[in-house]
Amino acid sequence: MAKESKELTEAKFHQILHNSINKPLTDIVDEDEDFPISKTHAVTWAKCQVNIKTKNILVDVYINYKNNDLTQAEFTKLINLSNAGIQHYWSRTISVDGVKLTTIVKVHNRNSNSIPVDLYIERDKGYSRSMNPASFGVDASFIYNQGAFSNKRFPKSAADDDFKQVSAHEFGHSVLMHAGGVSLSWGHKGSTNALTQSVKSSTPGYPASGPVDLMKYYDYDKSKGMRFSSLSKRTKAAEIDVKRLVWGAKLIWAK
Amino acid sequence: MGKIVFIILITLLASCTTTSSFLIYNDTNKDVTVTISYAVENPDNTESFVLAPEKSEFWMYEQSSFDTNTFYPQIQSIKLATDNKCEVSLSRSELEKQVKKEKDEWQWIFDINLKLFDGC
Repeated sequence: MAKESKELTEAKFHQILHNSINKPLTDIVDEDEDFPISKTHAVTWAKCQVNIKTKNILVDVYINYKNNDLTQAEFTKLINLSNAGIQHYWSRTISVDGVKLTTIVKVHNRNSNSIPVDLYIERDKGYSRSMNPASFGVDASFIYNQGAFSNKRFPKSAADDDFKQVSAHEFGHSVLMHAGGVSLSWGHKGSTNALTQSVKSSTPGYPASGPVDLMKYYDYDKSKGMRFSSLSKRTKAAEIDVKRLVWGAKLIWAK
Repeated sequence: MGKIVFIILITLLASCTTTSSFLIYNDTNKDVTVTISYAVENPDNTESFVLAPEKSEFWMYEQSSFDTNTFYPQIQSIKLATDNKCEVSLSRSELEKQVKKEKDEWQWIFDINLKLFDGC
């Protein structure tokens, strides 16, 4: 009979977490850099607390939502939907050294040390795409497609559900950019060309069953289509991406 | 400067593709079983679901901005069946006559109506 695994210590947690996302235990600093920057647990917009006794990781994410031309009611609605989307799609169980840890993501609105996000409502009937370059000092733009879903044949919650999922995806670009740069983030984990955003020939179709990766694109020509109702239920941030979030976040080890 | 170049780049790239949707709406007073065949590489290329009256299902997809006059290219045919075993099959070309898209809108709409079942 196999022995029960030893306690997951803080040192072991770091070693295994970093290994699982192919990161060294400590940053390798490029000596040529004038101002070397450590990326491990270094983002200013997230912190997490690991409680190994309760097997929980609480991740606090900070976003600076900016209002350009929305009424206060619209602005508040979009903040709530975006927060709900990020919290839903990014909260999941991750496994570290065989220990399953319930990871709960909570989003807070904060002006500094946060991800800047402009909120917009598209009132025309075309669909406008959101974006988050997570670089160049350009704010992310989360767009609520009110006009596109205004036809009464769409399910009532379609615009809200779409916005929640889009917000979660766009937030993920900040996670991937910090962990792997442009190729990982803009390239949607290798599924698209980083610049044109078109799917690569090697990109598979939607998986026949099981989870759909929040941050990947899929090739429509290779699998049957994915109804939005199914897509919403099956989509989740991948375990490795939640680990990347924890790796980037400032970490407190609860005693 | 980098910020301006980036915004121009993103604007140019974003104009290459368009997000479209295909929506099926049950405009009858009966449950309808919808079976869709997709022209795709994977042999598992059909799916079925039941659509209650006044309910819809939709798909979102990216397509070239130069090809927005084509609805979801991978849909090959659709079979509709009511619970009283009335069945109708529509090929891609027959669907193209049924599916509607208004100018400046992003969604292609296929209304399932009782007329489709004439002759059952």
